[in-house]
Order: sequence, then C-alpha cells, then structure tokens
Amino acid sequence: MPDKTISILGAATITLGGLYLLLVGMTVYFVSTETRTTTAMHVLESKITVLEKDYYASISTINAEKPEAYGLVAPRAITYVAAPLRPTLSSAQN
Amino acid sequence: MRRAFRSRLRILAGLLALFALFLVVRLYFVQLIHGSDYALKAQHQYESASRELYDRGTIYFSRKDGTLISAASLATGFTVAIDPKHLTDPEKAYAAISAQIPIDKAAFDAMAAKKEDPYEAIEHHVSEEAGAALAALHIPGVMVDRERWRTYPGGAAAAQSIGFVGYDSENKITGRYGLERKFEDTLSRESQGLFGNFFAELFSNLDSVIADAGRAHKGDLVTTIDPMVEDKLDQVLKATNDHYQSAETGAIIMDAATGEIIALDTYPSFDPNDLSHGSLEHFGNPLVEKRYEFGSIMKALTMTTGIDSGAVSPNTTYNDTGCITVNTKKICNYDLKARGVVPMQQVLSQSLNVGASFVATKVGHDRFSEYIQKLGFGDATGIDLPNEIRGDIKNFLASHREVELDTVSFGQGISVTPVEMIRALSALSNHGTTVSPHIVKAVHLENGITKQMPVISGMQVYKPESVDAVSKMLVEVVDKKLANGTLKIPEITVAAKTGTAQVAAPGGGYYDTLYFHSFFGYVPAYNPRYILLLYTRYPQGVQYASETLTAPFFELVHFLINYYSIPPDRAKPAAPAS
Repeated sequence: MPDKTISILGAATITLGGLYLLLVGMTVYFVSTETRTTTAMHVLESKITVLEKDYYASISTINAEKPEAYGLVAPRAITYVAAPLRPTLSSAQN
Repeated sequence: MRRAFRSRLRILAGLLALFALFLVVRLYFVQLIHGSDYALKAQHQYESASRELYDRGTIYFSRKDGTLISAASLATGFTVAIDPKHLTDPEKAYAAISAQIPIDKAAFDAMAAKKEDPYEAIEHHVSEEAGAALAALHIPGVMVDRERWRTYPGGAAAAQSIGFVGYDSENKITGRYGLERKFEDTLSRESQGLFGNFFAELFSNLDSVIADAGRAHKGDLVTTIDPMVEDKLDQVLKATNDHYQSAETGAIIMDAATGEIIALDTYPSFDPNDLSHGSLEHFGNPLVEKRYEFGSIMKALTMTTGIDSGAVSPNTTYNDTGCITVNTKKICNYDLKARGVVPMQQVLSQSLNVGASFVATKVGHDRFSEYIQKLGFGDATGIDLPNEIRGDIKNFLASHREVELDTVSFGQGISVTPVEMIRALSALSNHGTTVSPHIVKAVHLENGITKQMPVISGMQVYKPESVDAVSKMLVEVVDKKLANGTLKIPEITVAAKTGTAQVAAPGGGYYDTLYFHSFFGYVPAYNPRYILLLYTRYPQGVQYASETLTAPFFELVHFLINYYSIPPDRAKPAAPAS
C-alpha cells in the first residue's frame, strides 16, 4: 500500500509539474501574442487618428473654398430642385 | 501500530503535496502573472504613474451617413528619457536623439549632468517612427518607452462641448470640461499595462473576467454632432466675430423634431490639443453657462402665445403710437416712430416693441407667465453638458406690473441661456411641442451593447395651428422684409426673426452703445428639418442684428439645404429620371 501511495503522489507531482510548465508556456505565448496585438492595435488607432486629422483639414478646406478665387463667376441666382427619384432596382426579368 | 503509522504518513504526505501545490501556484502568480508588474515597478519606481499606458473611451462625431469620426481619441507614441548615470557617451546620445527630435543642446547637457537622477524625460509624445528608430539604436542610458495620450483630431471643433482632460487634485487625469467631464464615469479606464493578459486576469480576478461590472457602463460616446456642419458653423462664427469685432459669437443648429444638436459652438474658443495658447475664460461653455437677454426673437413666441391663447389673431390690428408709457416707464419702437393702425404681421416684420407689448397686455400676466414657464424658461434643459445654469425669470414672475410683462414680450427683462432659448423656440419648429436639446445619442459599451441615450420628452405648449399661423408670418418676414426680400428662397420656405437687445448695465438701465444681436429661424418653415439660433455679443460699428447675422444665417441655411438635400417645399418636384 505505501508503494501505491508514493506512486500516486509521484504521478500527481509529475502531472502538476507538467501542468505548471504547460501553463508557463501558454501564458508566455498569450502574453507575447497579446502584447504584439495590443501594440499593433494602439499604433493602428494612432494612425487612424492622424487620418482623421487629415479628414478634418480636408473638410475645412472644402468648406472654406471660394469659387471666385478660381476666377469663377458667382451665380446670379440659385434654384433648388427636388432630387430626381432614382429608379428602383428590380429583379424582374422583363 | 504499523497501520496507524502508515495513515499518519499518508496524511503528512498529502499535506506536503498540498503545500507544494500551494507554493507552485503562488510561484506561478508571482513569477508570471504579476512578474511583469513587479519588474516594471522595480524598474520605474521613480517614474510617475502616467508612465502606465493611458486608456480612455473615445468620443465620436456622427456624419450624416452614420460614419463615426473621432472627436476625442488616443494617440500612441513614445517618451524619450535618459538615465544620466548609465549614459556612457552623452555626445553620441545627443546626436542620435537630435536626429529624430529637436532638442536643445544646453538643456540636454544639463540633464545629462544630473548623475544622481536616474530618470530625465527628454521629450513626450514622440512619433511612432522617431521613437522606433531611436529604440533600434539601443543606446546605453537612453530609454524609449511607449506612451499614450488624449488627442482631439478636430482641434477647436466644438471644443467647449467636447471638453478636455487634465490632472485633478489627486494627480489623476480626468475629464475637466465638456463631455469629457460629464461622462467621466463612462469614458474613464484603468491604465493599461502591456503585461495584462487574459490568463492573468482569469486567475487573478475571476469575477471581473466573468462579470466585470465596469464593462456594463464603460464605453465610447456617440454624439449627434456632424463634423461637416460643425466645421462650417465654426468658419461662419469666426468670420462674423472677426468682421464685427464682437466679444463672442455663438450658434446652435438642432434637428427640429428630435432635439439632436448637429452643430454648436462659440467663438473665441480654444484648441484642446494646445491648451497653452487657450484662455481659461474660453474653456467654459457659454451656450449653457451664460445668460443673455435675447431681444426681439422673443416676439415670435409672444405672438404665438397671443394667437394660441385667443387674445389676438393674425388679423388683429392695433394703433401703434411709437411709444407708450407703462407704470411711468416709456416703451418705444426701435426707431421711436409711430406706425398707426397696423396688423399683427407688422409687429414681426417691423419688429415693433409697442406691438409686442400690445399682444402681451391682451394675453395678461398670469396666462403669459404660464406660457413662459411651459416653454421651459427658468428651468435647466437637462442637456448632457456640465455646469448648465437656469434662466433668470424671477423678476418677471414676482412682479405683476405691466411694464415687466411688456418688457419680456420683446425679449428684455428675462435672461436665459442659448440652449434654453432654442428649446423654447423649438415649440415653433416642432408643431407646438418643445424638444430636449441633447448631444449624446448613444454609448457603445465595452461589452458590445449599444445603449441609446434616453431623451426627455418635450412639452406641448402651443396648438399646431397657432404655430402654423406664426410660421406663415415669419416666412413673410424673410420673403418681404429681410434685406428687402432679396434673400427669399423661391423654392423653400424659411421662417426667421432677428433680435437686437440692449445690454443691461450693472447699476440698472442699459448701455447706449452695447448690443446683443440674435437671430433664429427654421427650414423648411412648415415641416422644419433644422432650427438655427445665432447670436453675437457686443458687435462693433453696427446696431441691428439684421446687419450682422442675416448673411451668416442664410449662408448656413443654404449649406444645410445642399448638405442634407432638403427638398423644395413650395416648388413642383422634378420629373422622375427615366
């Protein structure tokens, strides 16, 4: 019986040790993966922010545009019309 | 005996195994889960807490097609620092650093000379490219650490409403103004360490991973502000303010039916990315934190009150004598001239104070004050911005003298915030019911759920037919009176009214040369999409709002018609495309 107990305890220790090493490996793997992903995501977000700054600069330029600056003559009158109705797409064959 | 010994041995072995397991688990936590934490703390114990990667929710503007554009987000880069003690070759380090970022040689030498100081920050907010290039050189004594910081891509766009973050009394970065402050609980995050990982969280705080209460209310804000309209508004405000050298020019553009504010701002403002050039007096938001006497735009509400209460009708006439004396005080038209017997339309078209007084007197103080309160004057709107104050209508409510009633009828004697005024005016642009002005329409929670923000329902103040009658009168103001009718848009009805108010002096009475100009309108007049309120405070060299704000108002109206493709409401639609 004592032999069996020692065997069980030994097996449990080896299993726990193996499990520990497995967890170590998995943790290291996930840490490195997450670190890389997080860094990449932050850098990407930052790049998007730069693009958004460009977007704001663009709309500001568009809004400030004066056609007269290009030698264009301002219209004497502006007429608004309703946007024409777009034909509905149909899957009918004929 | 032997059997008992064996049992004890088994118990002892079991206890030892449990203890060993405990040590293994503990070691696992110390070494791996919190190892980086301890290492970082040990390495940077002399550095400030801001070295942890800053994290915070995003605030978005919404384009008309639903695309979200950041108004406040996070930028990532590097902090470059030196450890003078380990700086083996300061000249080489300086050459390498200055090749990437501009630094002053004398300042660098002074920092490098502090051999007892283990950390001297050279530059914050260094770009990704420059930081990565510097890090790749592995210069002894030069530290290149990741950093994140709050950035506002739109710059000054709606800056007073978006707000900004700053250090509080506990040296923590928190929202100080605007939405950043109002929604601090939603936007704030714990600072991130790059060592954070799923397993670490799983083992160290199982509860928070399974059911993190924070994830249920932390998120990103989605505002109703359209960046395109906001930019246009900002340009118009700046041009107007510069042209007339005003103390301040502000405006709100709001969806007439929902109360969603699509643009709002005042000028002068500030760029939250560069607060060093901003002024403390401009950090607050005058649209909710200041009260003004708006003047004659109030006549539109007076007229609607008169018609709705049955005191007058559009066909009612009165004898305009130019001036009247009420409770020993003289009330006059802006030009002191009499008009004789005129209909109600002229009260609005010619902005006659005597006519507005006539309507208010016919309504009576009690009924008029009921309408004033139903319009929300004197009550905060509950807009999602901090520090909102209430309008001051105490004198009017307390006094039952006719002179106070008459004064209020043309917009003097009560002072309200711009957002309070547009809420009251929204009764005209929303078929008699006020709307609740708001900026935040949704929160994208971290748990993936989008929470729509509840909107306070408005108050039915006027009957729709009363509003229609006044809208017709205000359309006539635009079509025939404003700039002699030259600004009339033949295909689209626009309802509008100007307001020029005298400015109250501290000791009573009014200044002779200071004016507050206001202008409001909605388009299309009978089924409004948008309502606009503009004002400019103390414009120089002009007296009337029709001179200062008419052109800016119509520039914005034409912009909105084009941008939102508002269809004509008094012209035949074009034939369908074939």
